[in-house]
Amino acid sequence: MKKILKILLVFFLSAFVIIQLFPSSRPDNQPVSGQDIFEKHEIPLEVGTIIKNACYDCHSQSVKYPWYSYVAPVSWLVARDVNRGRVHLDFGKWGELSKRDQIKVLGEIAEEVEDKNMPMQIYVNMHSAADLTEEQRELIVIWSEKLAEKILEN
Amino acid sequence: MKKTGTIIWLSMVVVFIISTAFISFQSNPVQNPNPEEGFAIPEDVNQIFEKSCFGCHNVEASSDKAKKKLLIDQLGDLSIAKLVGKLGAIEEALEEKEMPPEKFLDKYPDKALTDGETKRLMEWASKTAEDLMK
Repeated sequence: MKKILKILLVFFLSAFVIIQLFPSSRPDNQPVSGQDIFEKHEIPLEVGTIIKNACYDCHSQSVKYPWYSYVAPVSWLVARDVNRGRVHLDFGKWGELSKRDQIKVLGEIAEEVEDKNMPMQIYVNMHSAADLTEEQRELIVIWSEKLAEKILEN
Repeated sequence: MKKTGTIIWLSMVVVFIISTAFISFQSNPVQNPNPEEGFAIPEDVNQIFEKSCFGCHNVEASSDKAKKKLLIDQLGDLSIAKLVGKLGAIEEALEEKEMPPEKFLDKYPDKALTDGETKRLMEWASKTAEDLMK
C-alpha cells in the first residue's frame, strides 16, 4: 500500500515537472495609446474600480499575471481565458471598435454581468475584489446601458 | 437488487434530462413586433427566422437560455441602443456559425440555414442596425 502511494507521488511529481516544459501561449500586454476605454470615455470612479478589479485581468491590455499563472497547468488555463476574453471584449482596444460594435459589446456586458456569467467563478476564487455584490452588478448594468445610449446619440 | 434499482432509476433521470434538451422546438408564427413603433421584420427575413430560429427564441419557448439571449417577437420593445446591440449579436452568432446550435441541427437537420439564408439575415441585421444609428 505504502509502495503504491510512493509510486503515485513520484509519478505526479515528475508529471508536474515535465509539463513545465510545455510553454503556455500567455498573451503579452500590448497597449495601444489612446484606445483604452478609460481614455475614450469618462468612467465614474466606482464603475472604473469594478472594471479594473473584476474585468481587466482578461479583457484588457493591462493584464496582471500572478506568480501562479507562470506555473503549468494553471498557466495554460490563464492563457486560454485571457486569449478568449480578449476576443469577446478588449477594453484596451476599445477605440478600435465601430460604434455599432461598442453598443453590441455594452449590451453583452450588461447581460453577462447581470446573469452572473462574468466574472468567471474560477477567477473570483483567486481575486476577492472580483466577487461583485448585487449593487456592483447593478452599477455595471446601468453604466453600460447609459454609455450605449450616449454612443448612439453621438 | 437495491443497487440495480438505483442505477435504473438514475439512468432514467439522466435520459429524461438529456431528452428535454431536444424537445424544446416548436414552430409558432412570427408576428411583426409592434409595427406601430416602426420596427417590422421584412417577410423574407421573417420566414427564415420562423424556419430556423423562432422555435426557441420566442416568449413562449421553453428554453430560458435561448429566451434570455434573444426574443425575436419582442425585438420591437427594446430601446434603440439595445436593439442595435441585439442586431449586432445576431450578426455575430450567424457569422461564427454558433446559431442554430449543432445539437439542435443534429435533431432537426431541415432547420439548418443555407448560406444564402445566413447571408440574408446578416445583411438585414447589419442594415437595420446601421439605419437605427443614423
